[in-house]
Amino acid sequence: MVLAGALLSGCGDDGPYADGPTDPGASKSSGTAGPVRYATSALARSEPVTIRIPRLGVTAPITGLGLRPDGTIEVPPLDRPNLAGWWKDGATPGEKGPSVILGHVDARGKAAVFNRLKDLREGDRVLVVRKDGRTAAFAVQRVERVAKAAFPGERVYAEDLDYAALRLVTCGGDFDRGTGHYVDNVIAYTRLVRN
Amino acid sequence: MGSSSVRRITAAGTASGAVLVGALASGTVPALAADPGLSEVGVAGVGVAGASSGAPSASIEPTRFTPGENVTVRISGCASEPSVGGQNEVFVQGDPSGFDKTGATSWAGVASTLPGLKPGNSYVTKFTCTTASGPRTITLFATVPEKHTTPPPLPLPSPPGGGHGGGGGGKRFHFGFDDVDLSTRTVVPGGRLGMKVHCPTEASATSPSFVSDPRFEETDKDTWEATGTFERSLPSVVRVTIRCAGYGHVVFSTRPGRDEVSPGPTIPRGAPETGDGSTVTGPRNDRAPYVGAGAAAFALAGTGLALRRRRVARGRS
Repeated sequence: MVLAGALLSGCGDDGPYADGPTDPGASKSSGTAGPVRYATSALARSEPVTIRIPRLGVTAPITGLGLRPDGTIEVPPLDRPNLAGWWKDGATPGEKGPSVILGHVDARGKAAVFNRLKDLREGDRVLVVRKDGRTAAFAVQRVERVAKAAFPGERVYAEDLDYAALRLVTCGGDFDRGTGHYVDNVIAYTRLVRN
Repeated sequence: MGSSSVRRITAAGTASGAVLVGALASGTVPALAADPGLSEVGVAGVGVAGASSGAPSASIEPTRFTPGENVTVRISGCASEPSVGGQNEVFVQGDPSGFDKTGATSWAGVASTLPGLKPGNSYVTKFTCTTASGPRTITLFATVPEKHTTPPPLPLPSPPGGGHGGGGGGKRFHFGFDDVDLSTRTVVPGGRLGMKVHCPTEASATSPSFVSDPRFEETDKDTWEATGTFERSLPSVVRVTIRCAGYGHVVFSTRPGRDEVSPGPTIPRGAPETGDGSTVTGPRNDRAPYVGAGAAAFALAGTGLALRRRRVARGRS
């Protein structure tokens, strides 16, 4: 159950924007986002190296994340707040299917790489440089905040998609001092666009 | 696609269980024997026909259990004591701690299932052991049905036949992995996948990686067959969803080129913990502005309590 409503919605998965020439949502975005033209094809597999989010002023290296023994996903070390992490059992950014990049919202007293993820708006760009030297460009479709107890793992990590997508995930909502954890996650859903 | 060419991928379901359990054993193909993770599928579990003779098999009792409960894991066909072999998503870490020998090649051990097993997800635990023909890996599946897999009220338009999925005999049919046979476990670009589905209504299959949705034909009573063709460019993880109208669906996934099909993709458990709360100055993070260096310094200069809170937050993250 999603306890908190979507922070921003309006752009569906398909609808009028699916492979259409122009995303009208982009006109509402900042100058960092031009008209959105979704890619009609995907890239071959290649691991991500860096991520850049112009609206947030983020430029960060990316490390690979696997599973912990208890089955939860690893996260970047807290002593590297500007390091993002890519779920390496999933698609690579630009490859068909959902790829997932995590980042801390804060760490060791500092605002971390995805501190302002919730401020992303429809049409904002996310750029991922890959090992093959290509840059996969994504446009934000929507941002939502969900209770951790209702984290949509199936949708985030394994949604059936016939296009390349990237999901950015961090923490949000209240910080529960009893558990030492945030109670929500912020998830930005993006889709590959033509460069 | 003849049925003889169809290998069973996974096995036992329950008549009405909260958790469906199946198993496949590996290691019976000599060419693949060097890699215990790659091999022909054997069958284990409860009430499944067509098990490969001599192949090790696994089952749990009871087959219907609530996540968090203890179950007995039974493995047969192993000359040596089985052990958990690397991947364990079903049981708490370290379980089963050991197996008691119950027969010449039969073993039993008690294990606690993880309480966090979620509806709609499939979980895998792999066991290894030595058989007369060498090392083997046995994969045990546990699938927690989603609520929407509940069958429609009786009477059914066409009562299912016996055998698979607990159907027949007046029992309600539950669609599960044991109702699906796949022709291959290796997905390749441009390749084909034969599917034989036991379903009393109508079967269908979808995958973003199929060129088009395959068309099923009923080849026997409650039996549907179709062949899907994969696109020439495949993602790193290929998923195929097979539905039985009115009875739910199962999802298989694999990586192209690998001789391995799993019931569902790997999905990390729970939610990511991506923050230590160290910039939270108020009761609600939402209301806290973006904390730059200056603001952080201001907050830290406030009270010793703030500093104490941060230490606590760090220690708990």
